[in-house]
Amino acid sequence: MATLELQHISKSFDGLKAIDDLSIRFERGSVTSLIGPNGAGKTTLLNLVSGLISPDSGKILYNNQKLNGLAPWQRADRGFGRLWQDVRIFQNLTVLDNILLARKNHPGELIFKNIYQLNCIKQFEKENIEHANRWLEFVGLNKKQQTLARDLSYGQQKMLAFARLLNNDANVLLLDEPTSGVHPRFVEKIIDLIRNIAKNGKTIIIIEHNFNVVAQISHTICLMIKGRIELQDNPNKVAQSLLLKEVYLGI
Amino acid sequence: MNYIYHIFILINIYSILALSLNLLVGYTGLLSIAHAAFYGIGAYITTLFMANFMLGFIPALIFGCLGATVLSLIIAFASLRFRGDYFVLASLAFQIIVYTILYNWIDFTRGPYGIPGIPKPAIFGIEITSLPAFFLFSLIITVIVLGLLYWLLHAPFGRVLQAIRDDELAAVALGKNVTSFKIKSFLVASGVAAIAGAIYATYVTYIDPTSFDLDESILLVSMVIVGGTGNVKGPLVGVLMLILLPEALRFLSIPDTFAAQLRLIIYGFLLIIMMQLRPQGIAGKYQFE
Amino acid sequence: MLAQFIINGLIEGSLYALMAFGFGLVYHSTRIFHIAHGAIYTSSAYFLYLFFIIMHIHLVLSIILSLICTCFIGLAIQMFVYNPVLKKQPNLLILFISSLGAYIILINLIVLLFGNETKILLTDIEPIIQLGDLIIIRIQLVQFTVSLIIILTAIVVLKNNRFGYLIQALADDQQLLSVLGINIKNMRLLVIAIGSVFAGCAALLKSLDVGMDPYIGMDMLLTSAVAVIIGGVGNYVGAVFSAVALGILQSLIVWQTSAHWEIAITFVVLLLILFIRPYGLFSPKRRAEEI
Ligand SMILES: Nc1ncnc2c1ncn2[C@@H]1O[C@H](COP(=O)(O)OP(=O)(O)OP(=O)(O)O)[C@@H](O)[C@H]1O
Ligand SMILES: [Mg+2]
Repeated sequence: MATLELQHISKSFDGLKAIDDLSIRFERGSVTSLIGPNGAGKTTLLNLVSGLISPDSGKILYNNQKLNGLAPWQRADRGFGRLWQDVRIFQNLTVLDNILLARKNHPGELIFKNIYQLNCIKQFEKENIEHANRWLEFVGLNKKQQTLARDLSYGQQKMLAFARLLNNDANVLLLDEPTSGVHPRFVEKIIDLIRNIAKNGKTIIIIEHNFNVVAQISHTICLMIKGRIELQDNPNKVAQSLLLKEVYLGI
Repeated sequence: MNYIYHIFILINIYSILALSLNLLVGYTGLLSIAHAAFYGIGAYITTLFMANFMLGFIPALIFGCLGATVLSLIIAFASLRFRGDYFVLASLAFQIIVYTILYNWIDFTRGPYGIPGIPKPAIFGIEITSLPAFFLFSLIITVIVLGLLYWLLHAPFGRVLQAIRDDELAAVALGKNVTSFKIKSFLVASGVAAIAGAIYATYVTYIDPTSFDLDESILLVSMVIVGGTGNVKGPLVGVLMLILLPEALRFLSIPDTFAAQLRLIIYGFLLIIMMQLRPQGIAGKYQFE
Repeated sequence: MLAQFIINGLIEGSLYALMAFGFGLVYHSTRIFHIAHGAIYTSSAYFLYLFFIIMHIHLVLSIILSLICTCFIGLAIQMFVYNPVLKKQPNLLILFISSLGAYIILINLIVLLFGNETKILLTDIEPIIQLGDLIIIRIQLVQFTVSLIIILTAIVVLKNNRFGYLIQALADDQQLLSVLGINIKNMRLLVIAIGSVFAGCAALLKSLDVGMDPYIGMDMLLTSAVAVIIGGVGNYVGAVFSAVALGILQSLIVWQTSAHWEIAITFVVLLLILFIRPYGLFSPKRRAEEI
């Protein structure tokens, strides 16, 4: 069973404990939601998993192999994909290029292969374009292929980021607030999308403020407060918990 | 007619320089003010191997390119650690250090006296001495080099560079080894600049450090920025403008002493105006973020 | 000999410190890599040449006039070069290139008007002050004293005054300024005016000693920019000390080798320090998401 496991992870920023001795396991094919107030350390947790920051202590294991010390791009190579809280699409590239780029191990990215393996590259790129078109259609951007990413609306940019992630073919998807700022019409779509991806055996970790969305898609919900997971259970149980009400409604 | 050939040879040399600089500035997003240093390193090393070791043009050129690419690792390393104005400053530092070495390392470069009598290139035993022949020779090299660069920039390789420019972190998270791409873009850009240096040295048959000083780097950056960054067309427009401008001034029969400064003043104004009206340059695509 | 070169370096360093202070004010508060500061320095020397030598105005009056004109050059750069960019797209590299444009224009105007040759202001031989083995020329003493006074005053003002606080606010919290009812544009103009006067003072002190050519500004600018970055942007005392240290270092290099290595070594120092402390000596590390 392919799993991602965090063991006793801690991380502080200038004395502020953003993650405090946190341990958790994410099973393959599961959807886990992280909820919690602002500043709880949710994004920091994803940053630790993607390797943008390294923990002060603790281990991160993926399929029982240690990830600590691997560079972010190496982790991405092993199948970690990221959707950013602030979109982070490539503003000056076209929509299509944004997606084409996400394809891993493209031979055309190596300088010399461009000289002696042209056919192989052409073939690869052709397939890449086919995939990309499929994803573009999937997120409803197929008419915007040649538009510059910067000219898309925020909601469209978010969908583009999704399509890019899909073409990145990741096994563990780290989604930071995928529905925030998105038109309600797309929210349904994103929910379907996430369910579908999970069915294909991918691991999904999602940060989400909208509890309705969370309840619909997650197998497990983790309530994070001040760098700790205070509650971890299935959606029904969490929905009934007092702690959640306390946090969300201030009761 | 000789004069026309001269202008076209200059355009060839500067097109190579501007396009390779654009690889850094407009594609990878690194505003480097050290391009004249690589141009100079290429010129000096090629000259050294041709004059002292009697190598032919092509073997000497290969050494020149190797020298420039190896030295570019220093500044590539800087680009991994600094961004924005700190990188600009680091590249400026590199430019000044290289210039100082060219100027002071008398044994190797003859310092301010320069190296005269550089042999003309010979290809397949044909010595290229006449001006039209040299023009043809430089044109062929330019077309090959620009063609390869164009190809590379339009391949997925160039696409990754642009992604790194737009958002390094997002590129990393997609599995792109940004470190390696940055280093590669420096290797290519500096190696290509060295080719321009070799053409220049064998064309003028005399080099001294002042052709590769900070002002030259600034001129190159101006060409790229005024013409436009982020595509292939932009820098070429910049080269045409900035090379033809002084010639235009000459036709307006402005005295030579005056024209040199006037030309630079116009460059200055162009830079300021472009930054206010069209930061992506006249024919460019990308504007700095 | 060593002591002599250290003294010379110290005096040279005090001029760097003056220049660095001006550059640091602009760079700290607006983050503009104000390369035109070098051209402002050069112009100032040429204003003095214009008033004092060409127009035969009394030296003191010429100095005052030069400083006023220098100030106006700074203001003009802020208004016509930086402000339009700041209004549309406050972007560091765009500002840097604009600044470079202004530098190129000013320097070449100077060449057009005054030519390339070195110009001397004072032709009389300066009296020498002998302290044991050490020789100090009177003008050097003036350079050192005046810079010291200006720098000390400036540091005291920045430390104990609302102004220092406002500069900091301009650097990292412009909203605070608007809340306090302060016009950011005017504040920027004030900063560049002060910065230009600092550059002007350094230029006048230096050119009274050794004269001028159109290219004196660049080396001066580069060294002082390095001092600001080594010292830590916003840390004025740090910048002053770094400037003096660089002055001494350069003087020792001139002593040991030929003069042309000094700027290169300054930059080697910069690179080393940047590599050891990638975010500058004193500035805090940035957030991971921005790295
Ligand atoms: N690179 C960093 N440097 C310093 N402090 C940081 C850094 N990243 C996060 N923090 C701090 O750590 C704490 C947790 O931040 P984090 O972004 O993980 O919260 P979050 O749960 O994602 O909140 P939100 O819901 O607002 O996105 C915050 O107090 C934040 O200021
Ligand atoms: Mg967050």
